[in-house]
Amino acid sequence: MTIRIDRQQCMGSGSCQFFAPHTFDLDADCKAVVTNPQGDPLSALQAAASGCPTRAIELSDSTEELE
Amino acid sequence: MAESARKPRVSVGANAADRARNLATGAGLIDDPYPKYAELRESGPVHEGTILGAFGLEGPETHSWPDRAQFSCYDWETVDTVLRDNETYSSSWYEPTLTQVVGVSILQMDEPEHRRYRSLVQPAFTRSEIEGWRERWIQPAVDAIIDDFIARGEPVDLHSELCAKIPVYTIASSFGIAAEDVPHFHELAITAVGGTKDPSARIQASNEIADYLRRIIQKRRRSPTDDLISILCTVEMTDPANGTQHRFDDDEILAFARIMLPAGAGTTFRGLGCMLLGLLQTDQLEKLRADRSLLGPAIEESLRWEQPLTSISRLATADVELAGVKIPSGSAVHACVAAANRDPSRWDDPDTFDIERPLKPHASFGSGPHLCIGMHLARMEMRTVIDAVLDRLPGVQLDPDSNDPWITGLLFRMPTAVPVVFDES
Repeated sequence: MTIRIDRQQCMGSGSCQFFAPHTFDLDADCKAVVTNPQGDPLSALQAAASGCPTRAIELSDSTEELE
Repeated sequence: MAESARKPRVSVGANAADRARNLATGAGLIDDPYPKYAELRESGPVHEGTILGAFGLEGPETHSWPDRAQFSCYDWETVDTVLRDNETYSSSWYEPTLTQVVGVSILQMDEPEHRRYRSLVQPAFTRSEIEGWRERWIQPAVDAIIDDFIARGEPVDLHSELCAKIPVYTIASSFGIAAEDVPHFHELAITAVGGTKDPSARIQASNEIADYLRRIIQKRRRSPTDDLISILCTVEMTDPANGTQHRFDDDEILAFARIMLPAGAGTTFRGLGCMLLGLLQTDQLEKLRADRSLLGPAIEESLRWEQPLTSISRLATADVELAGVKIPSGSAVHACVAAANRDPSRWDDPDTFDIERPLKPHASFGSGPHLCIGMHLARMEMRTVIDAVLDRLPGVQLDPDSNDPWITGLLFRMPTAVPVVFDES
């Protein structure tokens, strides 16, 4: 799983950190960062991505990435 | 049971203004809006008219923009669309209601202005910051109230004696308001956004809050501490036109502080009361007692099942089509989050309160750029209160001698009471 965060879009709500606390954190600029892409189950990542208020999180299957 | 058999009729509210607003928005009249929401969702999901109008009630929704066309939406998809697309669906709907009593706050701003203001205060509301709020303000306040319950050793109404006090105390403490002034402040905050048509009482309450807060602002400008007002006094905003930096002026700080009061104090306590009642009236309490790690999901499920505020309103900034319905520019659009939260296309068996439900975002904090800035605080307050009730009031259960309480209201949802008894520890 590849997780991309659009820092321009990110508003620092911390919603992703709530749904997937072992994957996301907020940095000193109050922008979301990935601390461990394997930190939470897929369902939590999906909740984090779909719950992002500005759709700043993009999940993509790593295998597709290689093709 | 026939409605009339329930005694006494609902008298929910922290003061006269709050009661007036609750009654005007369906408390005691509409106990279960969900079958009607389902009907509106299935026959819509977008309808012409207001939500209160669909239930045969007139209310503040129609007072704000009476000359505009009105539309309402009732499923997950349309509610999410309206709340996320703040360019098409503008928060300026709140202008007439709020400017007069709180000033121009982020609640009624649109992008990019909204983001400029919000980003300055967002860092004060992160989960890690809120952990600090718990230690300093939430936990001690909860502990003091529970100590008093234990000392009294008699039945208590958790809704009015615990739930109603914690959020307002927390917000007021974060402003640096003295503990002994909090009850009066609570009263003022509710009156300021209360349901009376006569605006003079609201404005007077609002002015009194402003006078009190101005004195705190002056002190914090001279010597900042680490409370919210100090943060608001010290952050610097960059002017997008010329790149110059300036601090918030008093009016900007006041607007932010004055919107925080009703936003924090008038919502969380209802959600908390609904959650406690939901737990006490079902088998879900036993599940939570058996496995406290369910508390986080239980809070989300409770917020989905019975949210304190059932709708959010916007103004269309362009001609737009929503689920096949043409909405002319300038129309008021009411997004029914309570109906979205029970959309069967998103949740199985949506009317059931089930704390083991897989975690999925609900709409109770809104969505999009205006997603509730206090959501982590609300969750922390709920967590702290529920933990304390379960840990410190052994055998807590609904008081068998009280009237059978229930959840009521259309615009706002609230329990009539949460009367409990508990074992001596």
